[in-house]
Amino acid sequence: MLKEVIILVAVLLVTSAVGVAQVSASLTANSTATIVTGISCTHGTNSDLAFGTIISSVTNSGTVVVEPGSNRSSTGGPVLSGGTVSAAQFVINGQGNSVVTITLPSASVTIRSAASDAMTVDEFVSDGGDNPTLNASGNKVVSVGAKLHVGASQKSGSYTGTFSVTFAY
Amino acid sequence: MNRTLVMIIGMIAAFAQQGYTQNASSLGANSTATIVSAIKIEVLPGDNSDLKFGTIIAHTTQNGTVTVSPAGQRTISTGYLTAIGSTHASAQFKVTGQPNVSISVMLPSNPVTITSAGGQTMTVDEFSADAGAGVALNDSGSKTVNVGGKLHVGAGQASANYTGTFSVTFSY
Repeated sequence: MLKEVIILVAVLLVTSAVGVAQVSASLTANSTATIVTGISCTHGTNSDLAFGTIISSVTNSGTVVVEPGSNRSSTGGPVLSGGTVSAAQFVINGQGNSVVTITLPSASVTIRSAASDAMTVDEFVSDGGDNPTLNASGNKVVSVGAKLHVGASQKSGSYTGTFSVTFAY
Repeated sequence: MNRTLVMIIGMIAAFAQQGYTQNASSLGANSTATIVSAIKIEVLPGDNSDLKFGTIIAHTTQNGTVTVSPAGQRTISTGYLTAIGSTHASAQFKVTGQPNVSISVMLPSNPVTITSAGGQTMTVDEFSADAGAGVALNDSGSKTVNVGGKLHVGAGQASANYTGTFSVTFSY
């Protein structure tokens, strides 16, 4: 009798839900930059801080103040006597409508005569406030005044010196 | 995020018939397998989504470059340019996906143009990321990648706000 061997039949039944894994993703970002005009400054009509002519007292020292608006006043011994009086003017140029900082001398400045007699200038002040704003064209005029210390019997002479003012964004 | 669960069920059906000879014996059994598809990779903007070079003063006759590193540091190539303010920043991308899987980052290979309202242009290139070889999503399946680049400023570059776009692709 023929022996039949039943072969195992294997059926592989596969069920699946269709799903493909997302393997990459992209994102678009912006890149930005702003170019502005560099800041520069030049002297205005009155380039110098001028205290004018002063008669010193033999016995009393004192001070002379020139305000940013060019008004001059004195305290103590010195007597005011005409001459050229003006605050120093600076014309700033930069990016329109931008805010700038003003840095005035923090230490006193020495002015000397030809004979090397000295007086000091300090308490510099401007009319620009702490953070002046340039106009739409990028301009602004800033005036700077200060206080001059005159000694008793201050020697006669033309006294001169220099000071720096810095403007920055 | 949604998980797509894919299950593959394998079955082996066994057929047996009684009365076979004693020198062969077989038995049916099941075979199963389960496959879970990877969580799809996604990317969203980070806290700062844009590559910003900030405010720069150009020079009338000298060109130069401004670089923002992936860490957000800005450097200029020449003293003829001045970088001011602190609005510069690298671009952040938040990548999410399968935890502990390595990812690759594809940055623009060609220069990108940024343009002003008046039509002036500058180019940005040399994009770089803080994700080097072997970077992977963390245990929670996320990673923040920061991208920097280099801006080319022309001599006499016109004062204006410039803007443009670039794409970054993240892959498993």
